[in-house]
Amino acid sequence: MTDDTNAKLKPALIGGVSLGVASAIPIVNWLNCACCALVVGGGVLASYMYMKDQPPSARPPYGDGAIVGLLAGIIGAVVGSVVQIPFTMFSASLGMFSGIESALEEAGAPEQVTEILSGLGAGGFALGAMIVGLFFSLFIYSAFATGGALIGVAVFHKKTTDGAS
Amino acid sequence: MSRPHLISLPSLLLVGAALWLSSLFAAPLATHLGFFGAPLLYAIFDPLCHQIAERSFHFWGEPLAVCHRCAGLYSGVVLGLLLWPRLHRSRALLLERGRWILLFFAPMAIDVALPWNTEWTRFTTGCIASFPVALLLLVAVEQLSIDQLRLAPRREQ
Repeated sequence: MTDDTNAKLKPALIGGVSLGVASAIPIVNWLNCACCALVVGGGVLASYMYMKDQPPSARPPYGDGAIVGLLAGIIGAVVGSVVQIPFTMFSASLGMFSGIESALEEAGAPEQVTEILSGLGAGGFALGAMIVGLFFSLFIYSAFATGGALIGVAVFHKKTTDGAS
Repeated sequence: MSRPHLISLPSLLLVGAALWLSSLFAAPLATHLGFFGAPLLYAIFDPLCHQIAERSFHFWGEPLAVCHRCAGLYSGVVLGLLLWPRLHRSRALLLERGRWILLFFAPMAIDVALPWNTEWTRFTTGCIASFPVALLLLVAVEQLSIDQLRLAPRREQ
């Protein structure tokens, strides 16, 4: 692994794991209701970790910051989905699954859809919810963490005094 | 030097952001039309926003998938992607003083603290906050494209 890749991967791991764990813990993850604050914060943290080891430069490395944020988002989505497994299983055992089933019936979902859901059972539903959740999280977390990381680069960039890059 | 045959990345960004913004309207439209998948569309945005109906714009008699402030944030990015390429002087000034970007978040922070904010103050301050983020996205894409072009001749050798 090159030094450049390592320099990006370490901050992305720290930011990604932090945002993933925080976004998976019930009650704490309510902070994401404020415009994905935890995910944006994870991106800012990743870019802070990246920028603190960067030498001063004339031009802020927004491109590199975007990559760090994107990686943090991807790592965060995977970590979040894994950490969320026990919470999803717990919710399924509490009867959340049957609630969704009846809500779908009330909404007029085709019989095939409710039949497929019944066939899956609570465990299968929890697994399905995790896979679907991971798919959307990958997309959403990457976008928001990249935004956070770009803001971080703008704020934490150290400028050269002589203007040399 | 021949131009690389790539769809311009900034336009792809704009299309993506516009699709994201328009997807906010899919949820109320689907509910209005009685499509059974409507709750799923709301569920996609559920982790991102509190989705309180009283704090959301209504279309077709149904609330948008996100609140006023989030709708403003997403609109600000689309607006920024459209306008920043034309605002040359402001663009140079903001890039020169990167930390000024925090000033754009100040109205939203004040609005959050105010007890008497309205739907339009929430929307507008959200829009102002995310407007410069679009510039950072554009610059990041430009920098990455330039890096790719620099690397391309080395790969060919």
